[in-house]
This record gives sequence, C-alpha cells and structure tokens, in this order.
Amino acid sequence: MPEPALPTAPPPDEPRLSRRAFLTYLLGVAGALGLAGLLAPIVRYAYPVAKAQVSPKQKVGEKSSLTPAGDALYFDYEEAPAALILLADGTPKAFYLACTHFGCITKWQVKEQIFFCPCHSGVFGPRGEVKAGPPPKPLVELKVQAEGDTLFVEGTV
Amino acid sequence: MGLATRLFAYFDRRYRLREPLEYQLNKRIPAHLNWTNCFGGVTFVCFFVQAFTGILLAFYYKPSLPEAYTSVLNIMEEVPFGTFVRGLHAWTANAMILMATLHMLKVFFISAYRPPREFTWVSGVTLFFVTVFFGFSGYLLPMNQLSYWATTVGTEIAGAFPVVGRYVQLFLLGGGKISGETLTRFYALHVLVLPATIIILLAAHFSMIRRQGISEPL
Repeated sequence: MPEPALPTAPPPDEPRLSRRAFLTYLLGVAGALGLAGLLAPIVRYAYPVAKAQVSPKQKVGEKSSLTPAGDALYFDYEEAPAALILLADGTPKAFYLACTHFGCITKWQVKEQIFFCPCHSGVFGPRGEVKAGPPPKPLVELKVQAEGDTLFVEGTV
Repeated sequence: MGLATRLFAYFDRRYRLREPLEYQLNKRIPAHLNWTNCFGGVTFVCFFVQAFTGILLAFYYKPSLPEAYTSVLNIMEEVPFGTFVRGLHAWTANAMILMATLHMLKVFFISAYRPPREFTWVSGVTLFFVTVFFGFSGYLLPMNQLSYWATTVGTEIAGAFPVVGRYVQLFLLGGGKISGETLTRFYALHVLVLPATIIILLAAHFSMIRRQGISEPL
C-alpha cells in the first residue's frame, strides 16, 4: 500500500489573512471580552439570589378524621395547593395538586378515585400516577409523617 | 465584505440610511472648542448612567412604606453588585447636577444664550430644574431618616410660598404629612413623569443645537 501523499504547502499566491484583517479580528475579540466583562455583573445583579431551600414540617390534620378511599383533606403547603388522601388500605398519601401538564389545579374525585384536571382532562390515580390525558409526569408527592394520629408533611418525595 | 457592512447595505438599500446618517455624523464644529465645551455632553452621559442604573434598582426596590427601606437594605447586602449599582446611581446623581451647573456657567459666561439661541437656554434651564427635582424625589425613596427630614424640609419650603404654597405642599405629600402616599407619589414622579419630561426636553435641546450649530465667540 503506497504512503498517502503528504499535504502540500499552500501555493504562495493563495490569499492569506492580511495583517489588517488579523488586527481587526483581534480588536473585535478584545471588544467582545470588554463587553462581556461589563455585562457579566449586570446579569449577576439582575439574576435572583437563590434562597436556601428549607422544607418546613407542617401539620395537616388527624388521620382519624379521614376515611380510607374517602374525601381528600385540602391544604396549602409552601403557598401551593395540596391534598392528603387515605388509600383503600389506610396509607396516607399527599400531593401537590398542580397538574404536571400546564399547572392547573386538580381535584380529588371520590367516586372515581382519581385526581382530575379540568383544563385538558388529565387523570391521575390515587398514587399520583398518570392514568389518562396529556400529563407527562405523575403528581408531585409530599412526604407524609405520622405522629400518633396527627399527620404532617415535610418536603417532597 | 464584513458582516456589519453587508448588514448596513441590506438596510441602506431599503431605507436610504447613508445620507441622513452622514449628515448626522459629519458636523463642522468651530475650531475654538476645548474641554469646557464638554460639560453638556458629560451631563447627558450622566443621565444615561442614571437611566440604566435606575432601571436596575427598580428590579429590587419596593415603593411601599414597610418595604422601601428593607428593599434598599436588600440591594445593599444581598444582591450581587447591588452596592455598586446603588452607589453609582447616587454618585452620578450628584455628578449630573454638578456637570449641569458647570455647563450652565460656561454658557452664561460666554453669552451663548443670546439670540438666536434663547430657547436652547430656556429648555436648558428647565432641564436643570427637572434634574434637581429628580434628585429631590429620589432622595425620599430609601425612606431613611435623612430622606424623611430632607423631604420634610423640602416640602416645607414649597409650603412657604405665598398663596399657592400650601396647596403645592399638599399635592407633593399626598396628605398632611409624609406617608406611604408621599412615597408612591415621589416614586411615580421619579420613574415615570420626570424621565418622560427630561427625554422630551433633551430632544428639543439637542435638535435646537443641531439646527443652529455651536455658538461662535463674540
């Protein structure tokens, strides 16, 4: 097999980057860097400062006040609507009610045992799973803790 | 052809930009000019800085009695570069009044206000008053002790004017004393009314200078 030909040097008459063009590009780069240095603090200033995320523990209610597979207990957690239900076996489950499709508020339908979203007919099961409609993800579940009969939520699952 | 040139050519073909642009960019100026003729331009640069930093401050400032002072504290202590932006706004406010004063003195002492430039002078003096009122209204916004008492004194001075004084004072304060009403009023003046006024006046001021050229010495 013959050796591949070595790349030949460009012919001398091929137009090269002129000194003037090179310096112009260099000036452009310097200008862009200067502008970026100017803009960076402005972007930093305008960008919201992240607040430390703390998920408070919040009392929701008494377990004995709920019936398994019965009505939901609605409450607000971190300024967003949420609900707590008991599964048929008595396990407490809590979810943020915002539909994962476009954020409308779903409602618990006792008869059908579903969370129903009125905007685009999204349907979630009692464990938050998507059963029908456009929602791409299950409902966001909240961690439920029981202390005796009292139920608390603390953060998301 | 570079990108900028081609982009310009694209719009020039459609809107014939070259001629008016050349007219604006190539101006004959008298040979006697020196750095003391720059005061007006520097004042305008100050205004530009004020507009820009003012918009940035408005991102975080909350014009209500319970929140004004704490939101300024937030800018100073939490927001990245907040101290710098507020400092720039406060210092440039002083610089703007200083530069406008120097500009006015220069124009006065070379008698550049004489005909046919009377209305450039009138618009300039009005601009100076608007600038001072910018400073006065902005002074209240942090709602600290200095703001409160400076506004008290300022509105009392307005109130001392014969006959109409007390109505002016009532209008400025939005009531009998400094309150949340005063704060929202001053904020509206500072960020809405005065900027609109100053832009119109600046446009008039600059057009007259452009039209008549810079005054020749006597």
